[in-house]
Amino acid sequence: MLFDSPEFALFLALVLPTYFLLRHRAQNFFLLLASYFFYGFWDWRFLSLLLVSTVVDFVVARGIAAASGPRQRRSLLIVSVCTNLGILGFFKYFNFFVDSFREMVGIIGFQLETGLLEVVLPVGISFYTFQTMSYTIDVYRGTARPERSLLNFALYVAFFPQLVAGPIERATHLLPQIAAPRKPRWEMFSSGAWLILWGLYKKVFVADNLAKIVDPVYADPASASGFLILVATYAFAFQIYADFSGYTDIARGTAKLMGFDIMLNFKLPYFATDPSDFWKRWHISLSQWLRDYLYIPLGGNRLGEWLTCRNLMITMALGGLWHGAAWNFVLWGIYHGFLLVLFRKWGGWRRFAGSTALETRLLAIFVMFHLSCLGWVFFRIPEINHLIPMATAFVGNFSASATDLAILENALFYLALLIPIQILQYRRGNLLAVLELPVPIRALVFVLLYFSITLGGAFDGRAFIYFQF
Amino acid sequence: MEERLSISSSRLPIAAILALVFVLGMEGWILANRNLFLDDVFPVMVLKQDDLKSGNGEAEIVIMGDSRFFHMDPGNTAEAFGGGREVFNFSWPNFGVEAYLYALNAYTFYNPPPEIIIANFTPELVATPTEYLRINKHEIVRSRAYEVIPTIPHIATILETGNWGYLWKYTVSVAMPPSATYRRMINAAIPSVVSLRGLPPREGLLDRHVREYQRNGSFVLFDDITFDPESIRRFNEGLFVLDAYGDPEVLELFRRFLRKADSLGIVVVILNTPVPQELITYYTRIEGLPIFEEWVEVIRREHPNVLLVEPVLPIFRDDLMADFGHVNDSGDQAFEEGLSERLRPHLPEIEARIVEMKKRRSAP
Repeated sequence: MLFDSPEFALFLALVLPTYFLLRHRAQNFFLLLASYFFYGFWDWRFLSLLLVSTVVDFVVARGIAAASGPRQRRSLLIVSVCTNLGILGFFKYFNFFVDSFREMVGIIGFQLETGLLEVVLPVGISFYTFQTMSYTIDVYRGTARPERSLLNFALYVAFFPQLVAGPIERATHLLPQIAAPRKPRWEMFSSGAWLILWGLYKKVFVADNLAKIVDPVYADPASASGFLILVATYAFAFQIYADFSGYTDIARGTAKLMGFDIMLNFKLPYFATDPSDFWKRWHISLSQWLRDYLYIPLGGNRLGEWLTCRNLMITMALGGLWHGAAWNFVLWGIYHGFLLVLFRKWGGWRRFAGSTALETRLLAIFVMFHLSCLGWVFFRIPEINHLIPMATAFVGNFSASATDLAILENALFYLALLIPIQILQYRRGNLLAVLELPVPIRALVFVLLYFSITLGGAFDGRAFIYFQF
Repeated sequence: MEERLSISSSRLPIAAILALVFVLGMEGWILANRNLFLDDVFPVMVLKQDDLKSGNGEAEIVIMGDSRFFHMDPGNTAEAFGGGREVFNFSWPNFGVEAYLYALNAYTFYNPPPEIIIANFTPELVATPTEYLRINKHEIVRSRAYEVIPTIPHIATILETGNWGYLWKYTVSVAMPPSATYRRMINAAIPSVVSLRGLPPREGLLDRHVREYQRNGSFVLFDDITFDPESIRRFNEGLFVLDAYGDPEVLELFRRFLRKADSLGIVVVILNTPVPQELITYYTRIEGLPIFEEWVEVIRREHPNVLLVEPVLPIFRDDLMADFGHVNDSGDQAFEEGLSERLRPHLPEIEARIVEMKKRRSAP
């Protein structure tokens, strides 16, 4: 059930009024049932994984709180981590590791006849396993209290707006909202409605239309000119942003309609001035997760310069692998790790980018945007060997044909409203800046977004990119 | 960077209300003026629906089928059947096969059952992939049916057939705002409006179709085009490949319609429109004709309310055809002139069956 599907519209139209008719505890119970229905709509068999993850982490966290000694606490934590990583590893990475191992031994002359399993990747598995794991770790560290109510905890794991593609919530943020009665507030409702409209626009108008430009070029880069590859890469940068942040906006908007405040996941990432800034703006919930549960436990920046660099590279490589069981994602992660290390060493850049002069800032934004675009090439290529024809086209055949220029024009058309609104948000330092515009302009924006969706939206049931992670 | 909102809860959401009023106004305008954006056939379909609902379409003979029937003149058809009966041409493009039952139910929802339904049953039912023949499965087939079949009989037929998947698709389509439903045509019109040339001028064809339909109850779709034998090859490179699919589901959908017609005491006259020799040669080559002939036999044998007018597949010279399914102006003339002669040998049997059906209908 995609957020931009009629099924979800019907689902929400039934869930919202029912939700408001109920009292707090019944609301939670109803939301849990609705969330299980939402998840089961994809494939009901995978509900069992969700339930296993929920029950194990609930019991383990209670066990940790009641444990008498550190060894027992540690053992229980290992149970939780192994269960979650076991589920994730089997469903997401089993074939990848078997295949990679087979290829590796093939290089040194051994032929392994290991068969691959027909494993279907359960939607959202990377998100909810990370979310439940963070809860157990927080309880172990003493930064979160174990939840007493299985109902509340199950809802924390399965809450449908953010279940399948995040944001990866923290127990300390979401559980108190589940435990306390929600009071509907006008501000929540209006910002929620805006986020849904804005998210839908980003998904069906921007992302899905740009996908039509990106997909053919990346499927066969050998027959594209360097110019077209460049256009497709820019288009993909905006496609993935609009797709994922659009999903998050709809998720957060839906949650707001019910009185929940889900964490921000994007803060205008293409306005970042350096790699560290980029990761404070892009998929914030994942980068914070990686920071808190991987980078800092590895030693963070406390162990000297070289070990800090190592920790950054490990964290980003694993972060890349989190996105998908393929080497191009690992390469993308390593690339970003490398950028973080490089810019860390190059202290002058931060001073330069941090300057108050507009031109300097714009230059820094321009450079960082292009560095992230280069990263998206690794992310988007279906196979690593596609890099060769892309590089060849870049060097040997860059000239733009009339068709290529028409494609560029097309891409710019889809960005014609997104970019000015983002500039407005950036300049005002407010992601809800549109809601503060004068009434006629605000109304005009609403109308433009609505008709962009109905007249120009691509309603072809294209799944959100991050569902596969 | 943060999310800030300094909206007072006591203030009316004026911008949202303004936008909503404007959007609703525009949607209403698009719905009321959708003829401005539609192609050269849609407005005729809207007229046919109006005729159906208003009782203008009440007739003893109803023509049901796809665009190949557009040209069939009700006046001439009435005469060919011996006179004294009203004829309503209730055909629409991309009719497929599933739509027969929907058309029958829609017709009988607003009008008494006719004595005769004229239908076509051609080899393209064998040679077309099933999805292109089903309202449920193909967007073009579905979108055409939406324009013609009114909501209540539409839903009633869905419930009658237990086609739950289609019920959902239909609900979604009905719930879609007009700007989304007609967006292809609206988007085509936008450049003209933006360059201050106003809405695109309605094509001459559209006006001619509407005028002809209002005058005769029929119109010739492609009047001055002549069949090009290459068109089959071009067709096969386009929409889908004509092949000997022969899906039994297709036959069953047609038979479901025949059974329903039988239960309502209606005689179904299968009166196929002409085809060029090239198409018959093609069907022979893909071995589709034996399957089609087998299907014809099943219908002849098992449905006593059906009568097949000979020749089952009338062949016209290339210069009388616009393409491999539609006649041109000259073809229409030849068809209308030959209709009486073609029907004459069958008339006694048709009348006998009508009497038999009437008796059955009046029996307790």
